[in-house]
Amino acid sequence: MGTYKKNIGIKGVSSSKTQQVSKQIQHRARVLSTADVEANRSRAYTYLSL
Amino acid sequence: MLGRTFSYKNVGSSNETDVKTDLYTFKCNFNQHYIIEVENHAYNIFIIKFFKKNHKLSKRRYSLVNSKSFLRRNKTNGSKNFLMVLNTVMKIILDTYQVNRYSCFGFIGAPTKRELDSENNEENINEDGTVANTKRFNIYGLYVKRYFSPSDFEHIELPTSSGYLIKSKENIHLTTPLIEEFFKNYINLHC
Repeated sequence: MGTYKKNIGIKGVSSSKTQQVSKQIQHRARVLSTADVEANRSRAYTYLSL
Repeated sequence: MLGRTFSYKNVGSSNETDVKTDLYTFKCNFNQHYIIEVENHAYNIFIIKFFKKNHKLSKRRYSLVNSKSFLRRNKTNGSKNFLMVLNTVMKIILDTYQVNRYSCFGFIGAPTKRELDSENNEENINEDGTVANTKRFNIYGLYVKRYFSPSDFEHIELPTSSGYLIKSKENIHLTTPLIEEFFKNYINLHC
């Protein structure tokens, strides 16, 4: 995966070619409910019996 | 019930990094060899990765796809083959789970070339190298929801990094904060 860093020129002016916008972020986990799992699930498939 | 799979074999483990990684190979319908990596992490977390063997040396091996000319030559859109690739990965997951009922399986949906292009996808690209809500994240997420029952597994998404974890409910020590911490460290080290 590539990393994109903001590259600002000496005087703080960025050209459209060198400016790569990036976001620093905290990745939050989301535990899906049964309804979330079922929501977009095709009924053509059955859960594996494990 | 799981659909058709390719016949695969375990080809040992890699110790190139400090994470023990089990390696599997198989050959698809187009005689292309694939490598599946199953990384063994703490808390019985297994991170699954796969790529075509001929992309092995590429830094973007997890992002590359079959070229349009390759698909044209083989007179296919590749979807049937792709589904069998996923089924094969799933079979390896199931075999791992049969041995260890505490196993949890994770992936990060690698971005496509277009999703890595800041001109097209600026709003989803993060400074830490991850990309939010990738196409692979959505497709693999739908795929695992078909097979892993929420009565036996928790489905945990980290959409901002395109991370996903299927957590065995028997693995009671692996809490949501620990999962966030795991992905944070994983991203720092691997993305």
